[in-house]
Amino acid sequence: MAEGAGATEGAGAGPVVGINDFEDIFTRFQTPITNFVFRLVGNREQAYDLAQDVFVKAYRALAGGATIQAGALSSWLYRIASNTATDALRRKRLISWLPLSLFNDDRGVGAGLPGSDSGFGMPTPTDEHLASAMGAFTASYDGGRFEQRVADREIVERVLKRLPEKYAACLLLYEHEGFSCAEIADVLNVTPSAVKMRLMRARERFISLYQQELEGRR
Amino acid sequence: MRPLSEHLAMCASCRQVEAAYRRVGESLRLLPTLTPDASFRERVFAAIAAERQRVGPAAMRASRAETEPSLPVVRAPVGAPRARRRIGLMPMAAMAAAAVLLVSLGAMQWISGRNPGNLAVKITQGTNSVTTQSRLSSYLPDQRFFQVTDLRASHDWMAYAAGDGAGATMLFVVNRHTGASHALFAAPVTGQVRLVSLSAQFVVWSVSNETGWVVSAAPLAGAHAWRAQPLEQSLISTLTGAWANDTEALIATSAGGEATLERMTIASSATSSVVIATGSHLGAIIASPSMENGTVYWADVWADMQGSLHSAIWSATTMGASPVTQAGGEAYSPIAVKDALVWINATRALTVSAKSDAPAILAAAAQASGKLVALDLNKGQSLTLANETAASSMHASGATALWSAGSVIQGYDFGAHGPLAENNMMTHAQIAGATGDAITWYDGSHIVVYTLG
Repeated sequence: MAEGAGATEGAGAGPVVGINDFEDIFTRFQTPITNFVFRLVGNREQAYDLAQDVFVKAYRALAGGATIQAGALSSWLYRIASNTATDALRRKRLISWLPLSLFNDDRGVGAGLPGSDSGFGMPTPTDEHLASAMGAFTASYDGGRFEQRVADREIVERVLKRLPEKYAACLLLYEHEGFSCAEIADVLNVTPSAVKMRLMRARERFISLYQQELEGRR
Repeated sequence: MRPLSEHLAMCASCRQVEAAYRRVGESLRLLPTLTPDASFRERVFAAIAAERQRVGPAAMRASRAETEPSLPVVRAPVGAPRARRRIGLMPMAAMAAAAVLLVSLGAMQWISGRNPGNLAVKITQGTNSVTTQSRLSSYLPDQRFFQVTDLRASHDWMAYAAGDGAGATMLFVVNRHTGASHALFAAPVTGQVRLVSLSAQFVVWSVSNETGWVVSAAPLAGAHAWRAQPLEQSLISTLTGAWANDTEALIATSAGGEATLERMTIASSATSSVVIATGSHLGAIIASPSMENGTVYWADVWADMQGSLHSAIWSATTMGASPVTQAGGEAYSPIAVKDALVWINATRALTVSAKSDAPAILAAAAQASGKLVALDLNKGQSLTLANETAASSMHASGATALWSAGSVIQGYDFGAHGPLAENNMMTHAQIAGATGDAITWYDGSHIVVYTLG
């Protein structure tokens, strides 16, 4: 049995898990699934709410008679989690479409327009922008300073929030959950080559956004 | 030693890329971890119990879309922590190419963003303004960069891209009140430079060449005037369309057969971009994005199995996306203007040999020609503006649509609901552009700006 205590042998299809394994499934996956959702949505309380939804959905499917190949259990759960978080983010971002003109003057679309004292509002551009962005990631962290690490984490969290959902999910599954491109392809229902492309674009975007956040702090 | 390691040992650029990518992963793993306590278990099982009681065991079934269990077998179990796979999965060729392109696009950014303070005071000697009528102004382009390829004007500014005839291009913005000309690049660039928009506050443009592309914006006044800020850039994807007004931009890209349309704000880093559309099928591209009254329009262009090109227009609001024209049709190059949408109904079949190659599809779609039609977005009535014109000659902004009929540029005023009163002035125009403020054209020697009422 590759995964899940209590998995039983299917009819020639390898071990499968079902509703009787739910307790074990929850115990094993509650922490990774909750954290995966947390990193996608960036809010602790919402992460717990959505992780609860994930397990309720999984329970519904298993109680409805679904059986999952043990080797595919992890991908199945992460797919539910990814869909659940993405749906929540899309609802949130669609709602945020409309009130663009309602942003505060010091942060919104009117920030720094000519005649304003608050500056341009966008991060100050740099010479050799991309090279500079790369430099921000090739330089060493000051690992000895707690404040610096907290600041770095805050920036990374904001960058993750600004990444398109499909890039964030791909990046987290690869870098944080240790999935292979083939496994991510199963989770996200795309081809492995699309996963590789998303990973590259996600990293490009991540580096660019990170640099913007750094500039915004100066 | 593996080939990638061998390459990294020899290539400093790729080592830099690899280090940057590795840092992305490390920074993600620095994030704090939640540890669900017993109360989380209690609330999950309480929710399940409540659900069972509410709907009964027989109805405990989630939607198939959310929990579809028929995943293919995953080879590697997830039981033990895995070795982190990072750059090793990046194709070698892509790795080497990315490094080369990074250097090149980095240079492109350096060109557009270096030393903005000096740029602001740079005055091109060859440019002057001659007011011949109260609404008509004439400008000489730069002496070296005299082949004007794109242009438009607002009340206060006139922007134009021009080549030197030897492959180098420069982008200029001219203050229409003082005649001062500002070069937005510290040095000429190679590749295609396109003006995306010129508003009262910003100029937005794109630069594309074989190394990659970048869409940038620069404010026209204030403390940060002329400082170029990249809105989006890539070394691996294809830029398939860009549009902007004074607050927002739409950027369409394609990579690996996957098309994406994003909407982002120009003026602030505080707002994130939003993906508002993705390709409906492999190989399709999203082209010609534009926006009017909060509705986003674009063309979904793809090639069928025979290589024949098709294009359908879509629109999207916060309520979702819907087709404007029939799928499988030939409606190319939509542009939204004041209360109207204009596009080309192609009359000749277009084909492409590489059916999933975004640059090839984009190039083929640019060859579309046929009937120029306009749809009144309020009344739903359509109007034929021209029986034969090329998509590549179309331009529209504000309440004005411009196109080339034969060798003559014509225009339509959607505010006055009739042909442009200025049509007879543009008889010698080679290219033209419009904003809500002015119509601008180039006659081979002068740039002429007609300021709208």
